[in-house]
Amino acid sequence: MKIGVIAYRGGNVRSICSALESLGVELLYTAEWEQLRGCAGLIFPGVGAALPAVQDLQRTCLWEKLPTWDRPFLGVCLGMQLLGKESEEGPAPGLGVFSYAVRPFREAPRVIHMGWNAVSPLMQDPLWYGIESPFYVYFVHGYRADVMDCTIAEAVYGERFSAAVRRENFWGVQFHPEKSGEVGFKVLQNFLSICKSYQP
Amino acid sequence: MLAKRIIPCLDVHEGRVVKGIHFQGLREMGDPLSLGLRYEELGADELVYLDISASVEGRKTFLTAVERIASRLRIPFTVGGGVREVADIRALLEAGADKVSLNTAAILRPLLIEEGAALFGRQCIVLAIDVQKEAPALYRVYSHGGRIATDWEVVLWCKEGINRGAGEILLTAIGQDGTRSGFDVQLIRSITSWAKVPVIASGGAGALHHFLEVFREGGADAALAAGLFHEGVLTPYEVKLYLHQYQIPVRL
Repeated sequence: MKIGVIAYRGGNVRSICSALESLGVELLYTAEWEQLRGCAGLIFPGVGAALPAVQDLQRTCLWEKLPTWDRPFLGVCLGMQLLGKESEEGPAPGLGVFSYAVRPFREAPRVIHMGWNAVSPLMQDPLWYGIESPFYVYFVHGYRADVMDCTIAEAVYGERFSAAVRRENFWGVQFHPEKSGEVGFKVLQNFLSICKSYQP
Repeated sequence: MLAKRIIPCLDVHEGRVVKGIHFQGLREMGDPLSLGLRYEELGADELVYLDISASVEGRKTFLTAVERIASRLRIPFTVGGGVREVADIRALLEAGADKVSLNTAAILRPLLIEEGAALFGRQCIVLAIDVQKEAPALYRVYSHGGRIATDWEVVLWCKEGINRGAGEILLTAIGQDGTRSGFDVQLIRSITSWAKVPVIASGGAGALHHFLEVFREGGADAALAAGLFHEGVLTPYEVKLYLHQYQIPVRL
């Protein structure tokens, strides 16, 4: 099975690529839509700031094409934030797959939410298959999305926020599964199972 | 609730993990990746690798080790030791490290913190500070592996570093290091009481209750230890199990 990892400026994707490879999938790391189209699922990784990432995606046709993707799609960290309506970081527009806005933490004890935090699933989802609730995963971010209808898991850092979202074939996780030990790998494995069996 | 982190620290010399105080009688302990994976298994929340090689070849070997670690380890790791310029930070991050710690180079040229934070984001810039207690309320910052006294008092240097973009502080009490007599809780408190970035307490871990003290009274976000873990006196998991009994939030 071939999984596409969307290449764009600023992302340190070594860890997530190694993680996926260790789970036995063939990876395609590219910004070419024509090549990504042939994949069973897409991963939208995210490290770095929102605005340069958006500008880079807008230079290619990916900005228009990504929301039209019809197989499983997983946005990670910044990748999840960019699936929303807009981000105050920059500020920058989002891809608009989800309707949430992204803004900084206001009630948090530290400016960056960094470390292991407990995540509570709010809805059953194949992404949580075989994972006991609540579970600890690793976060690094200063901006967050509100808890909305699309929220399938929440976490608390001074305030509640979306730890994971889903709409149809689009998933997003605010945490880093590739840095979250065994639980994180289980989430990635679950996503790969979703890709394998997905029927639009 | 955000969990308190337990972080084993590994010193790497010419690509091998070593143990020894102040570079004397270095004893080889093994491969950085295998030891890292074992700590991951034993419940470590994060790892710190410090390169103590003095040679150019040693640094290259370290970079190769960082690549190997990044491709297998499933928890975050920070690297440091001998980071002098932006190019060093970039090389380490590109090799797959999650964070880079700056120490002496930041004291010599504080602008390095700003450059690193602007280019790579403040979340991956850790300011490591070695501190010596000189009077009941005077903590002086030392550079060059704790050998040279600077003009900085610790609170002022922390403020400077955070203002310039440090995303985390790794605070080592030189006097406690290797003594196993407990963390310098007063020192840690003097920073955690106001800092808006996480503080990792280091130096002096020797028993379970030391960890409880540094989180409860010191307000630390994470605690780092080396010898205690390397010698198998305690495992990160045992420390966290103990903390959990005292209602300290940990990932078990």
